[in-house]
Amino acid sequence: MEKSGLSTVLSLSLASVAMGGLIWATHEWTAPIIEENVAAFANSGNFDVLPQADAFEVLSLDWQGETFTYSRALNEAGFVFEVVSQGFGGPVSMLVGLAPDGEVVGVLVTDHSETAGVGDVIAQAGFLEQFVGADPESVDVLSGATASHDSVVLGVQVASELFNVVIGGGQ
Amino acid sequence: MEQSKALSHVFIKGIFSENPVLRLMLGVVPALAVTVTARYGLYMGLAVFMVLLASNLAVAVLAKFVSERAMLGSSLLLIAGFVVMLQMLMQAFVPEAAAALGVFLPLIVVNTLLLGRAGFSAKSGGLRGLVDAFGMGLGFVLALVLVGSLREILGAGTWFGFEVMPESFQTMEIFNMAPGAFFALAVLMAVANKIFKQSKGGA
Repeated sequence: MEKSGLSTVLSLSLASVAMGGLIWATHEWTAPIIEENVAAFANSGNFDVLPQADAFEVLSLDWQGETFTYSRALNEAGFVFEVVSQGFGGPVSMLVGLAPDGEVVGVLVTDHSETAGVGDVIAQAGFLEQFVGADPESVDVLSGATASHDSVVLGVQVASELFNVVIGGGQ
Repeated sequence: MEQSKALSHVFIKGIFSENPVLRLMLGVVPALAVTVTARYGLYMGLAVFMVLLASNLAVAVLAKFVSERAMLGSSLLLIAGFVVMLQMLMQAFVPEAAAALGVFLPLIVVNTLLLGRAGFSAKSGGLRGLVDAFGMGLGFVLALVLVGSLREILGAGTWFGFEVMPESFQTMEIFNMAPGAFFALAVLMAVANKIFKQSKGGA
C-alpha cells in the first residue's frame, strides 16, 4: 500500500519537530552537567602534578615569541606549566608542577604519539617520578628511546625557565 | 505459538547465526577502530545498542505513515537525532566512556548496522523491529567485546584492566594498532563462519 504524499509530508514534519524538541530538551538537561565535567577534567591534571594546591588561576605568558599557558596555585603551593616539546613520533604535551622554590613536584604527559612499547614509556609514572626534585639532565636515558626521553627533559627545562621568567616578574 | 517462536528466532539469530559484525559485516568500522581493550568495545557496543533500540522502534512507527521511498532519509533523520542525544547524555553521565570513544561517538550516525536494521524494522513492524534490535544489539556488544578481549589479552596481557597473563608473557604490540584489529576480527569471523555454516547444513 503506497502512502499518500500528504501523509508523508505531515508525518515527517511532525517527526522532525519531535526530534528537534527531544534534542533541545536533552541539551537543556545535560549542558550544565557537561560544563561541570569539562571544568573538573581541565583541572584534574594540575592536581596530579601539584597535589598541594587548593585551586588554580589560569594565566598566560609570552616568552621568546611563543605564548605559554600556566596555572598559579591560589594557596601559593606553586605553578603548573603546560609545555609541548618535539618527541620521536610527534609533539609531546606535558604538565610540569613546580614548587615556589622552583623544584619539580610532578610531571604528567597528557598527550603524545611515541612508539607503542618503546617511547611510550615516557608517559608512565615510573619514568616521570624520576624528575621529582631532581635535575632533569640526571634522569637515566631510556635505551632505544632517546628522542622520547629528551623531549620530556627539554619540556621540564622549558618549564623551569618559564618559572624563572614568572618569578623574575614583568619580563 | 508460531508468532512467539518466530520472535525468539529473530532475537537469537541476531546474536549468533546472523551476528551483525561477525556474520553480516555490519558495523565493522567501530569494531576495528575502538576495540583496543575489551572495555572500549563494551562502551561502543552499548552505545550502539541504545541507539538501535530507539531508532528501530521510531522507524517502525514512522513507516506506518511515510511512503517507502522517503523511508531511507527518514531513518537517517531519526538515527542522527538519537545519536546527538546519546552523545550529550554520555558526556554528562559517563564522561569517561565518551572520552574513550572520542570521534567515533558522533560517527555512530553512519554505523551501517543502524541503517540496515532500520530497513528491517520499517518492513516488519514495531514488535519484530524491537526484538531484532535487542538481538542485533546484543550480538554487536558480544562481537565488540570479543574483538576487544582478544586484542587486549594479546596486546597488553590484561582483560578489562585485570592482569590475566603470566609474568613471562610477551605482549604483542601490533594488537594495539590498526593491523592487529584486522587480524583479531578476521580470526573471529573465521571461527563464526566455521560454526554457523556447519550448523546451517544440519538444520
